Amino acid sequence: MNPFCLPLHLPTVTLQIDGLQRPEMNPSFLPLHPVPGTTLGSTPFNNGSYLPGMLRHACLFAVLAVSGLADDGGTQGLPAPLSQEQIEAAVLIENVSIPSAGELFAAFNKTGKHDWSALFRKPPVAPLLSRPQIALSIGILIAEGCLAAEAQDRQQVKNVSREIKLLAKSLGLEQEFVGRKNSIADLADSKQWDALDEELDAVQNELAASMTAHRDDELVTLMALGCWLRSLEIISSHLATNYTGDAARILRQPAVVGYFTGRLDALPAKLKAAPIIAELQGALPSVATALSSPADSPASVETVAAIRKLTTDLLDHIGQTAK
Amino acid sequence: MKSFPLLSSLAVFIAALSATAADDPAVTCRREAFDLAGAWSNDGFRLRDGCWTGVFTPGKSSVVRVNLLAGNRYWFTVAAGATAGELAVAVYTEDGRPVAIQSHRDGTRAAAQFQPTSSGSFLVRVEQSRNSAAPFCLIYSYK
Repeated sequence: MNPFCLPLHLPTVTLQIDGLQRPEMNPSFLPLHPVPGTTLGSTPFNNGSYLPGMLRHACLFAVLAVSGLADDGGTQGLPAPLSQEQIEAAVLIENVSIPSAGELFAAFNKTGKHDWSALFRKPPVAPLLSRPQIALSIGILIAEGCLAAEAQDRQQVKNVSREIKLLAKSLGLEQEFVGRKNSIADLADSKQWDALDEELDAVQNELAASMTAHRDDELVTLMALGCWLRSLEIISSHLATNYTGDAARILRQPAVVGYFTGRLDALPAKLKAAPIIAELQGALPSVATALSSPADSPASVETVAAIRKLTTDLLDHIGQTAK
Repeated sequence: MKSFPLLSSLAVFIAALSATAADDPAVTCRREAFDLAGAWSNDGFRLRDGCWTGVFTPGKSSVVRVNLLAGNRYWFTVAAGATAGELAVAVYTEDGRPVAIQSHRDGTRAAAQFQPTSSGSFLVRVEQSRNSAAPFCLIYSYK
């Protein structure tokens, strides 16, 4: 990066490793330029006309000097470990603690090139009659939208957006989605796939806020659960036929299952009596076991197959069970 | 001309509403957190829409559990009300051991960058230099 074009929000960062903390710049903000006396390929950089480079050095030193004043810049070590009491007091916040579909796919994308369009799911075969089913299905569609963004399939994004609108309407939340629907279509048309992921995340939060305002807190949890289950199904379906240990490392999320288990247990008795909720409660312990592989070893081929079967069965049940 | 008083009242009401929002410390720290996180977005990080807003409990830690994915890089960004003094963000493994981070401190704003080598549960702790009941807002970005 040219230091004459530094970003407005130039961050001052400190590298904190092995008990030592040194002022550093974020490496991606550092200018990449050769040092005089060295070579880059066959090009020597030892001539005396390297004034722009020197200016860049001067600029960088100036920025670093300011950085040093702005941050703690000392030799502060790593903080002390957390006590058991502090660990137990840690809070879980749904839209912070649970990874989004886009976040899962971003991690998965780093493990190779994937044929995302082969993973689209067909719409439900039967009409969705119960509110829990509808909330779960909106979540599933949000994950489907993120999948369409990864596949860079403009038409699929619009199809998903239209289905979300219909389901939101059946929950009385159509107005909350109208503006978002247009921006989703605009982002798809302009091929802003990263921004589309953020927009779908925002859609989920906006619908969640409206559900909460309508005293439908349980639907918020179900929507998040639907999105998470579909994301898991997408990753495990791909891994079932293209297994790599590196990619399977993503399928380790014990705390997430624990969170959803707790939330389902806390649902009102009337809602828990719904077949789909009973089905979810029955299956989550098996999902928890499958997602709790040791930190240093990825989920095995058999575990991935088990996750795929569990999630596919649950999603089929959500889409096909009438009530 | 009859609409003038109505418009004036509306303008006063909107101005009052804006002033209230601008003066609300929770709104201010949320805005500050998003402002700082904008820098990471310039670097290709996607901003998660959700946030953790709360109020520091004097003498107690503020810790949130997150599920991070191997391969992704994360920025946890926090901003707080002025009474919190200086802020710091630290990341710990699920059993409470601190991990190496790249940190950024800027008074009542701070951030920590972390790249997990294995997926799973981690803990993010927000600390203040004073013992106040200041509001704070934590958000995160990933790439």
